[in-house]
Amino acid sequence: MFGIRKYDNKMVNKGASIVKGRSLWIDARRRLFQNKAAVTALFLLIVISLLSIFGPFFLQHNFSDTDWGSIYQSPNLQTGHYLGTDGNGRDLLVRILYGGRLSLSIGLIATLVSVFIGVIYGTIAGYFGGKLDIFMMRVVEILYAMPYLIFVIILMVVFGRNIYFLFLAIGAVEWLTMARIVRGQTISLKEKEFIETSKALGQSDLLIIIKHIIPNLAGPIVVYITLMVPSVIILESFLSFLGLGVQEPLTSWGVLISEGSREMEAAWWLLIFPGLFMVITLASLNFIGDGLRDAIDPKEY
Amino acid sequence: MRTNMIKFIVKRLLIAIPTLLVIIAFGFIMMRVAPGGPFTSERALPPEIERNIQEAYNLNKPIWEQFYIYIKNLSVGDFGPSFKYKDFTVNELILSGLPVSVTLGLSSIIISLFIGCFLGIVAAIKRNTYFDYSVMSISLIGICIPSFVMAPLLSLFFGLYLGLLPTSGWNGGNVLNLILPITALSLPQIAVISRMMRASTIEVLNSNFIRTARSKGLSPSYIVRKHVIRASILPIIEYLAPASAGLMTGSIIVEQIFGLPGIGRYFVVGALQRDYTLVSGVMILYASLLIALILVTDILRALLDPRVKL
Repeated sequence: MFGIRKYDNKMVNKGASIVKGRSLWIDARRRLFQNKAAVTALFLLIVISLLSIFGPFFLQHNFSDTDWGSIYQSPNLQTGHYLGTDGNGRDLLVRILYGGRLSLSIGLIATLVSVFIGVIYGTIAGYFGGKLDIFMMRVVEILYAMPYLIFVIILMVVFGRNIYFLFLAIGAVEWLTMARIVRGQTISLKEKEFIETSKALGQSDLLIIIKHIIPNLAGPIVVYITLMVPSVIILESFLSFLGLGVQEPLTSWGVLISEGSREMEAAWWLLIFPGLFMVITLASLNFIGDGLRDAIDPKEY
Repeated sequence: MRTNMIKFIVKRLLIAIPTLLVIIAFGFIMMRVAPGGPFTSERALPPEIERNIQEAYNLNKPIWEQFYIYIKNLSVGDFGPSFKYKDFTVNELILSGLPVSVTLGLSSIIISLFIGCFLGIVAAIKRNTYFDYSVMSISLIGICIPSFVMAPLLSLFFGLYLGLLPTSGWNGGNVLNLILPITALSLPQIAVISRMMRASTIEVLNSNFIRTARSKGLSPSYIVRKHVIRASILPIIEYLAPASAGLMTGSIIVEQIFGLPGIGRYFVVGALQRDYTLVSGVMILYASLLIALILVTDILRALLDPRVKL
């Protein structure tokens, strides 16, 4: 028996060079790229992200430059204001792209914050179980009953309208669902043989969680991230819409939509274009999330 | 069965009370540690006046005593005086906003439940037809358009371009003034509910007890009415609490955009002006509504679903 183990590694390596094994992730990627809606959405999302990151460098206007000679100009290709200007004569396209930077990065960072909290909380509750689990989940239950948006609004009021705090406040309320999902998966994972083996080998609990439990949760976590980013973007825009989020002269899609809705009688483009950018992004993220879920967890419907 | 039910309700209530207390404490502490009180102004007030103000609002007492007073007043339904709207109590403000918000919220939840369930069931029965595809794609768009985009768009199109409906104002609850806000509030909910209903109806249609009912020769419409709906509506009932939470936050936006004097408006104004008592009052109101709703949905689910153990 021990003799076989000695050769085992070599044999596996040899086998890998002859017939390439298809891992779960390669399979998932193939399925994802077969999904036309998801691929289109991925393409759109990449275009919008690249535009937001690099676009402002190629445009002739700056996002905070006011030009009193050209206020409320409608979209026009000749003047270089491709999507028109706002009430201060600022170019709308540049502002949308800058807003996109902010909205997308808030979406990403706040999501990562909440995934971080949720994964740690969920694995601890699920792995150790017992009274600790009951207590931790009761806390989640209590927090669930809070109207979380109102909670965020109060946080923003109390701690001032600081953009870094915005990341934290949103991350701090969005982790609950992640914690629940991770806990459930952890409970079913920890009964598996390979975890038992690690325990028998004397690996510490921390190492088991980091090396064995969390990597096996990657699928649901990735899917949930793509579905959470849009909800975080909506949350940020909601706060900015109310004047509690991003502050001038910085801008985000929420701020632009809020301005647009106040000035839509004079200038419809101020509402339509930021709204369009945002809706396309949200829709793309949702499609990608759905596609990923079907790809990683292929249940036949 | 009956004693089980009572036990179940009592148990849930026992969970609900600490939840509510935590929320009250949270609101209270947050508002007290917040930098910049409602009376911090550019102009320094003479110390006597400041002292008088502090005394009038109990701000000079130790914080735990303030909390005790607050809880004591809350237990008799008194949210205290508003810090910013002088001469008004929070109760008066909330009561004046309540009819507006309740009208909006109740009518949108009823409308979205009916339309959403109906569309979902029909889409599930006519699965993979054009009707199904169009309902599902429209609802997907509905999910992706947040309320603060949808509401201004509606008011731009129907209010300004077509001139059919008033774009703002309450106008004593005139039906015409209500159409746009209620539509803006309901559309996302209709989208979510119809998708959930479709998924759960398809699942029920494929289950064994429906096959049995079919093989007994019952008519399709009878099966849908008597067997399918009862089973497929369960996820929707569970969704009621999150839906109401969504409506609460949605109504904050919608009231803002359509200029309606509801509770959501007071909440935003209170938040922007650091009106502690008003904000925590509204928060506690929202939270207790939500907790009550979760309780009701739990009980409803237990009544409807024989598989739920009490």
